[in-house]
Amino acid sequence: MANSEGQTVVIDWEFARIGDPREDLGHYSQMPVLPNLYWADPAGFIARYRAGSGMTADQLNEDVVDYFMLLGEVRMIRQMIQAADSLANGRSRGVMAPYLINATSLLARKYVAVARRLDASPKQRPAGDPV
Amino acid sequence: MITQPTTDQIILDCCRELIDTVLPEITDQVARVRLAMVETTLRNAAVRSAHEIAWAHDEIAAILQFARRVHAAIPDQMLQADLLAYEGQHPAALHLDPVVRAYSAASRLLTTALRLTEASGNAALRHEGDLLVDRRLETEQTILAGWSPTGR
Repeated sequence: MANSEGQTVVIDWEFARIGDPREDLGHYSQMPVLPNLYWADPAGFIARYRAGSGMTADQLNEDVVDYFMLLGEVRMIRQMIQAADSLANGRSRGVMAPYLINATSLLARKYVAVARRLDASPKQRPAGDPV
Repeated sequence: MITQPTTDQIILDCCRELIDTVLPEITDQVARVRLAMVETTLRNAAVRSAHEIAWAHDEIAAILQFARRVHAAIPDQMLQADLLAYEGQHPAALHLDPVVRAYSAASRLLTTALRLTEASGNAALRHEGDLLVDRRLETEQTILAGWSPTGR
């Protein structure tokens, strides 16, 4: 993509598909690549997103982001575990598979922390979620 | 058997060689990133090699204790079946393969026990289960050895 100033920007899509846009926020909230604008200021990030999207506080808040993180990252963890399983069964898929075992550990830790935080929260199901 | 240097020392020495000698000679950027990933993976393997059998052995014992307490408080056929399945995998020796098989059986046991405690609302057992999960996460954290998402 090129903007009006002639800058070229590359977008690296991950899990591109039609879905609830809040899945993007859940996924982004756990991204370990800095800078992570969500974790720098979750409340401010959410306020700006709500202002831009028209979502209400019930439709988008920190619990909702946590909820979609849990919902979406199951897919990511499954992919990484499948890659590790391939390696364990003698099917090498290059260095990325053993390397990403670390990411599985890191993500599992975040996943448990978020699940516990959400479990302790009084509002566990976001407004408008079809699941 | 030559036991010193230990396996982790040998692997870490290979890591030093890769970074100090091999990496400076590589100019291709993709290859440099791949080498960094290999070196990180070897560092993780070094940590695992020094402790993984002991960690698995200790965690298996803790899971068994927990599962038996859960079974005593919440009798359940699936948990009983998992306990019996574990008995068939209990390692007679400390070679890695049987220990890993036993650890996998113990992990299935843990999953079943955690589901039961979650459904039962037994706060004490649930807390005990959480501590076991924490223990596993801490071990994983140790293996990470300062990992960062290079190449992402």
